[in-house]
Amino acid sequence: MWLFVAAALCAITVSVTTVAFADILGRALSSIMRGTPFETTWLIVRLGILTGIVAVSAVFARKLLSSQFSERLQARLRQRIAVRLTHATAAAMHSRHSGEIVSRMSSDMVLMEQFLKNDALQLVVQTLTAVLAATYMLTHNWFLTLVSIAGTPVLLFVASALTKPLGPLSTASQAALGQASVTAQEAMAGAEVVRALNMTGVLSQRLERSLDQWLTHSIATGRQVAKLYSAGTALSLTPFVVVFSVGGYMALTGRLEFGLLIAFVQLINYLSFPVQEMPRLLGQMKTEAAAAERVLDLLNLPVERLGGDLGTVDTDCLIELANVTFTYPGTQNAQLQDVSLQVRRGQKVAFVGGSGSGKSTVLRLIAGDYEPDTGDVIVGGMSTRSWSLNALRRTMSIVDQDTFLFDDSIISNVQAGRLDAHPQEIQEALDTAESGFVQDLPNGIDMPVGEAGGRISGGQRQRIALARAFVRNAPILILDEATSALDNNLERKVYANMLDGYPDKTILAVAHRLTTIRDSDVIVVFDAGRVVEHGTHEELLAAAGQYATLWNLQQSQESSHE
Amino acid sequence: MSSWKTLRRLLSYTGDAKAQYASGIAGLGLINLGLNAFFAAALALFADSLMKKDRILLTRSVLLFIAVGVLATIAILFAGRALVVGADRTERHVRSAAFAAANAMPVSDLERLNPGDVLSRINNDVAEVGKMYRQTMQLFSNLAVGGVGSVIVVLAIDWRTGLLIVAVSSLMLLLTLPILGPLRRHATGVQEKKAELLGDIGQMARGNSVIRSYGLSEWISGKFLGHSLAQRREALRLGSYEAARAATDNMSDIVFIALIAYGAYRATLDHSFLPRLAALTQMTNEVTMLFTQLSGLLGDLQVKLAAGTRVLQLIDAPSEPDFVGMPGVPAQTPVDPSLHVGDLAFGYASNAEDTVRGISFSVHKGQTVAFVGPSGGGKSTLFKLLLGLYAPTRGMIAIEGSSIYNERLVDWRRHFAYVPQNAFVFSDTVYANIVGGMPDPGLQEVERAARAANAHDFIMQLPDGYQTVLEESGRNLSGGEKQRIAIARAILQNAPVLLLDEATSALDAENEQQVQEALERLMKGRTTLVIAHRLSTIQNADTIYYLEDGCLVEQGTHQDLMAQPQSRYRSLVEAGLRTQTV
Repeated sequence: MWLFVAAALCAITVSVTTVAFADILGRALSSIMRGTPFETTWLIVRLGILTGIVAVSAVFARKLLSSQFSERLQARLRQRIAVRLTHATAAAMHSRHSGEIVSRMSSDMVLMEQFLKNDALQLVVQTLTAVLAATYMLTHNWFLTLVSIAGTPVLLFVASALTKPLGPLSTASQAALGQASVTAQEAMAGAEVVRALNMTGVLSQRLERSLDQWLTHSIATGRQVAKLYSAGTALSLTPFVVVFSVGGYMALTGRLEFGLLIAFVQLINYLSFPVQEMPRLLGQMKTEAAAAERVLDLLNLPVERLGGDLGTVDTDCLIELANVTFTYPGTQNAQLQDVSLQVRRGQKVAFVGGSGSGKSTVLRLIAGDYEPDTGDVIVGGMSTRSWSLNALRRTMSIVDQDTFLFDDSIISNVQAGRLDAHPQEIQEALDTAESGFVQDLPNGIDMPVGEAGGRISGGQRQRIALARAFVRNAPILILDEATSALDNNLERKVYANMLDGYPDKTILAVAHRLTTIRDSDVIVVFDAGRVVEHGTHEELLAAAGQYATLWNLQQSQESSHE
Repeated sequence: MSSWKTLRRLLSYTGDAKAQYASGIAGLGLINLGLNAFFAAALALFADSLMKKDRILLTRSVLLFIAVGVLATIAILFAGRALVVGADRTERHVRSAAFAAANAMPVSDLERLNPGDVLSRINNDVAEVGKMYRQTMQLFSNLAVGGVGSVIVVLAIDWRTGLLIVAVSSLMLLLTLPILGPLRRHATGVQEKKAELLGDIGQMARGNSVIRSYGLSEWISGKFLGHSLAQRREALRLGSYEAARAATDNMSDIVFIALIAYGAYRATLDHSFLPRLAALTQMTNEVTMLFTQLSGLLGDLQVKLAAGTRVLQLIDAPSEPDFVGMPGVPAQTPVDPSLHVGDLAFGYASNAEDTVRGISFSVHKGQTVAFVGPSGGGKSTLFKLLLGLYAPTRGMIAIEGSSIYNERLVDWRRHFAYVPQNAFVFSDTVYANIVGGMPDPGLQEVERAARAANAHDFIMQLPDGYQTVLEESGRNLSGGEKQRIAIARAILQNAPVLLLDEATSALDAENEQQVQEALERLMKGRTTLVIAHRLSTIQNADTIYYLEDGCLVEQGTHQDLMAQPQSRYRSLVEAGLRTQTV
């Protein structure tokens, strides 16, 4: 904070020296005109040099201090936000778009920086300079001051009248340009289709039409802007002309000194600030304050609870849902209704059902991401409400529906599963996940996967995510559509490797392709938030219920023609 | 291309706006100079009149002030208009040229350059060039005409004081120069570090479930802390250089002080110097501006010219030729097969290996052939070759005896109706989307095609029916609806050969059935080549070609190929046909 105070003091110094400088200039010129000896004038000039040096140093110090203040504050802020963000609750993150958070941390942060670094102090400097200049001018010659600024309001009115139509005009030209860029985008993205259909001409015509519109609006804008230039010139010249004409006659009759006129001319620009610049600056600061608020709001991100008990996973009934009803925060309808199920240690359980039937939600509850509205989710004999969330999650490896990889190398991504994993273990995990493709990559295991794993294919991403889960070696393995991007062969191999390599793990898997999970110990069928059937593949087929229908449908789609 | 050449070429796009633009640019510079010079003269006269206590002289100077002000205000109105309008018209020429070049570029080049990059040249770089016409050039003219002119005026008023002003200004410039390098370097550094930080934030936001479930919050916050501190270090360094630059910006005050100090000395010796001193105080700002703003302006010009170079590169890119290049194969082909492909090969110049390596096959009229095989096997390249999107490195393509080398590409493509894998719709009316590049066949025909494609009903339910404007990438349509529009387009084209790239992603049952029905109508009686993903499509084909590594490795009917125990086709079918989509 003292940095900001110091910067503000420098800003005040800048204001004072500005006015002082104009005064000294005037005095020097008057002194010359009066024909005083050089020594007297030189004394004034030396004062001017001193003032100049102080002014330049104050500008330097102000910039330096405000950047120190702003950067230090920003660093502290973003670090606190980062901690908040990494501990945020699933519900809080669910309701926010990641792009929105990034935009707050980028464009909003930049606006906030603008405020801290420049605009806040700019306001101080400009206002103070205007006040000081006004005081100086009014005390020296109030009549000339008033006369010189008398014309300004009229011209400002003209300028604002000229500015008004600019908004709609530029919106219209932006819209036309937007149309043009859509056409360009389509010509590029659809190049193949455009050529195949002989549509290049059609698109060119469309673009030319948009550009014609754009040009019409732009020219209208341009004409208006030229008027504004002209008004701006008049606005800046008028005070000069007035001061010189009125002041000239006053000086001629000895009521005023020549030097003061020069001082007035130097200062008059600063006077117009409150009328001319203040609305813009205030508007900008308002935008910046709103941006700062959005950044600070991230500090209110709800975070997960800390503490809780360390449970065990030695119980025979490892996971139990007892009459669980659950509604996602911010929604009306219950996602799960009165769901009860049990998973014994070492069992391989599959969850089946349409999208939105609740199968993934159950997994989230087991992982402690959410707590049920009523009923209980029990892991190792203890409710997830009592578990330490960290400890609970140490018992499981989760592979999510949308595989997220860090923008890092393959090895780091797998290592994220267990940070102290040995390279040997990482290799084994990759092998279990059938990730032989890694060897063919340019840098092998050190190959960076790109942002969100964008440099490798969806199937490869999934296999890396599986390896990350395997290397964690936790007793419970949760797979939510974890192999959806793999082909049948690969998927089968991965499952076989997994059962071979980790026979004791308790596995909960969601899969759309039923052949994947037909050998599970228990298959639980969800529909509209309830468990409608459960049993082995054979039992469910015999029961001829929903599962049997789904199974027959998929069979006919995949192979009925054979 | 040198900067100078780039600039000259960019300025040549003024075209019919040349006179207007040039008068705007030159006018604003001259007005700037004239305004300052005449104001200086008025000021000198003014000071002189006060010294001499001469009322008539004073009135003259006041009238001069007013005249200069009024004239400048009027002149700026016209010159400003000429500049802005001239710049807009010029920018329009560049925009047209850039788009035309991209629109005519061979598809293979476009893919190599990456369409996103080309698009960014059309949008962002052209906008930068537009700013150059509007702002950079104006500032340039202000400095060149106004600044240089001011130096001359200052020297003319009093050559000794003039030299002093120029000397002190250059000294200030010299002081600024060593700051500029580090300033740019640290500014880039800050941007890079910022990008890193944002990358981290993005990962924290998008990867939150992984971070949560794997207990990685400390791990990633730790990484972030490192990046954050590095960013702070870099930003603080930048901050000190920025402060130094801000201080040198105030150097004009120093020049001013030097002028007053020297002027005071001269004026006390020679009283008649005072009016000239007054004039010089008015002119110094223009002179120092030349020195303080020149480096910034040149930097800005560099940025704009870099954008300009990218735009010009695009404009200079070769267009698709009217005819596909002739690799020296005689056009003698049998008339009978509807489509004949002989020893066709294609490779990207950059890659050593060809992606299609000597494929030959014939399709008879009305037949359906299916292409299957792993992705990267050459199926889509084959389609692009057929459509003349890529130029073959050797081999022959002929339709009913007419070779691809003997027809204009525009005519050649009329032989084909192409239904791509992901139906592409344009943000235009449904009607225009169905008509595509054909001459307008009238609503009745369009409706007939839409009905045949099972599209009429849903089109009628859109707010404006056939005149409904589709949103960008057809966001207001479902996947199945877009496909049916693409099918309607193909039906309307009524071309002899259908190229169908079957969609891999599944639709819901209702849509699926509608699309299948429409496709069956489209294929009926037409020579069809299909990149197939559905078993039923493949089974119904007259011939199946298995493509791998750019070669036809197996061919035959479904029964033939299934009967061979070792056939790749068979193992593909047994794996559930999914491999090719991965």
